[in-house]
Amino acid sequence: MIGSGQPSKNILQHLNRRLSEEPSRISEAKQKGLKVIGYFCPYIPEELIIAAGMLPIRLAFGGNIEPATSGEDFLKPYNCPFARSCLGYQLIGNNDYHHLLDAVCMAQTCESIKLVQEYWENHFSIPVFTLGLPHTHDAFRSRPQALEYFKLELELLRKRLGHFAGRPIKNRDIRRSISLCNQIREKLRLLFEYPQKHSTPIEWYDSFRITQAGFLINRRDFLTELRIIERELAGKETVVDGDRQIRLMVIGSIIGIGDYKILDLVKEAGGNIVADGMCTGSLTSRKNVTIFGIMGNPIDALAERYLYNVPCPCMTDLDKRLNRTAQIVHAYNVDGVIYYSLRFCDTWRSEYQLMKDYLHKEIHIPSLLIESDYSPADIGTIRTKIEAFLEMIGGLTE
Amino acid sequence: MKLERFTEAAQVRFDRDLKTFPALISFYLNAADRVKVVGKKVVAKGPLSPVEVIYAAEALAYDVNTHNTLQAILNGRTDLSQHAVDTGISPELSPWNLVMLGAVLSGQSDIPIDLFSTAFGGFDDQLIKSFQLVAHVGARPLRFWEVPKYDPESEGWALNYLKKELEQLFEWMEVHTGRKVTEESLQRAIHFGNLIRTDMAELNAYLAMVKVPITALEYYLIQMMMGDYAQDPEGLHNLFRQFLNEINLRVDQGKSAPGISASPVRVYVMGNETQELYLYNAIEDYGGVVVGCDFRLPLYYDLIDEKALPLESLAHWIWRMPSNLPSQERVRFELNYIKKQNPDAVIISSVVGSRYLPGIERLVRELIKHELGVPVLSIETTLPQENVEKVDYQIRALLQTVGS
Repeated sequence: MIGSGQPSKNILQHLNRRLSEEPSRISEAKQKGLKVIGYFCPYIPEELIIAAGMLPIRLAFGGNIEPATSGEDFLKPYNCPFARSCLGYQLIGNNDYHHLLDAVCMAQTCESIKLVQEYWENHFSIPVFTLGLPHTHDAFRSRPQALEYFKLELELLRKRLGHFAGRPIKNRDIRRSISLCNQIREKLRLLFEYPQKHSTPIEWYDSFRITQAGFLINRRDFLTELRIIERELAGKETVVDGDRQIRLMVIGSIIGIGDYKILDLVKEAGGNIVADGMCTGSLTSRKNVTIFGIMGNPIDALAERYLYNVPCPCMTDLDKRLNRTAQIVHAYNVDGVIYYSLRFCDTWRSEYQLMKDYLHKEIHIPSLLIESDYSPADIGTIRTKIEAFLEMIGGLTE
Repeated sequence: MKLERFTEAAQVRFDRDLKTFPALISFYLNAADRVKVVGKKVVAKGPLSPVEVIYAAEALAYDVNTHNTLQAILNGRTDLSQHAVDTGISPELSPWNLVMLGAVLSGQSDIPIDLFSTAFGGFDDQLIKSFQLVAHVGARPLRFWEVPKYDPESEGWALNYLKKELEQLFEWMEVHTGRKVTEESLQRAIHFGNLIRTDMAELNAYLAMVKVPITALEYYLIQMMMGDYAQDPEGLHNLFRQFLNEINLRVDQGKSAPGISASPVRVYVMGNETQELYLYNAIEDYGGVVVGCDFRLPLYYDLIDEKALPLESLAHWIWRMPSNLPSQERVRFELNYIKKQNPDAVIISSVVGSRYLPGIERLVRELIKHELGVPVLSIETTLPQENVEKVDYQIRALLQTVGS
């Protein structure tokens, strides 16, 4: 279920109902020949899966200690808990979506996901389609070879998915799926833009969860749901008054579906998250796929969008991450940044010092590092840290 | 350099009969003195990043992790890792990275660094992020170059990508070193690298013999030197030749290295390179002998083709390095090398804090058992002396079981 407090709850009721029915709907559709393709990181263009007539499911589940522990059958306790869960859910079979999968797509992002890929290839009996991904490109496009390589990798993925679907993926179908996904992205962007104002009809937290619901629902139906939400919001008065709360941005390691410990603690402590830089949040809808007319090559357009969105820290373009964070801080009038590092997530954790210095020295914004995993054992400690951080910011802004 | 000093600090035992080894290890550990005299730019790089690209620009490759950590272990200075933690770095990183970060951030790196540049092959996120940090803090130029993932179906465009990455790297090196990489300079760098690779192959052939003439610790340290050719490929090759000649004398006399039992259990070591150097002595103490390890195998798995265009052959060799292969293919590939050493048992080493090799340990263990059919022991170590009793016990149990 998504949605937390009043009054967003009403807005989300329809979506919640839909979400609860989704696994059985997908099961029924599978009886009629639908194929379900899972993926983990947002570098896989789901447009290709949709264009092949298949259903993309983003397997971004987290926050549950049981699959993370089960994943230790393969990985070490000092591997990232999200990666362990990616294996653990498949092992223990108690996830509504994992057992629906016909295949998975994997982009080679960080080491942890590479490990997940290797075990999926060798231990689970469904096909794994991999996508080579450049890591060293930059926003100045100083390495055009990265884009060329990525385009050809996407062509290879298109060929493999088409073969699996039993029909070649045509340009026309990709253009249609791009159009669908662009509409979804636009509507999600609008939701995330609301909290730029101090009074908003929907909290960031709900927009975040709506985004995550979209990982699991047939995308056409999800677009319909977003239209319903849009209509609901248009008729609403201002329902959340964030004026008296400290405005926060959250960035960092993946916050998976169900991994709401930190977000809940911030909320309980009186913090108001208004923006994010999360790969399961607003980054997924940040940038449209730009395609020019019916002659434009859709693979080129996909490569542009997916390679040059704000990079995960497994990529080397730190400057783009810093700049993007600064832009959001300014646009949303943020008072402080919560930097979330999942334990053993080396890419995010190792950048904290640089991000902290940048925020402090360049834009004069305090940040708080929170390291955690899926265990509830650290709730008390984290609560104290967050309360102290909010108190400190409160003192600064008074 | 006196080996006695190391023996005391690191609590290890060297083969004192070998006359050429002290010169070899001193050549590696005392490189700072030579580097100052030579006056060339020093380029810090990761352990498995090929060095030919650096020597071709007439700069000096510096495997900053291995160098600093071995210095720290042998001199009893692993407290450098605490310095890294004190500056805000996660204590959960691999000790190899922590010691390196501590050394560089505290200005105690044994060689001053001018540039940072290493291959990005998707197998060491910690190293990449550590380089990003130290280059930023030290205001040093930094360049990563991509090694695209291995997939036979994408060979054509992956190699094109890699070649363009190398060409841009050479341009960057020229800007910072003032030396242009030419076909000739690249050819020369490849040639010296191949001489050292040939030396390593010869050394491995000695380890494949029934009477193994080299003790484990010396072999391990020599393999570590592959990470940067000790800032002097030609000099290292010359010292390797002297060392190999001495080993050859032992072979001619039909002798094993001292301390190795008459019919030892032959052990191949895989995975992470442990910082617990004592374990190499322990293997011999409990009736074993190390017949090979794969820590730097990606750097000498094969010669680089000197007949083809150097950029072409270098790119092809890099793309096929075992460290760039998926684990299943890597292990199958490495098995060709491992089988030559005729092991009775395999030890898979994980270093707590490393991610990839410990993470893939189960898969490797299964493949080795299946393909080789010998007992496999998995061990975990951290900083030196931290869990030595447990690992010592595990090794003894393995060797007693196999030996009996």
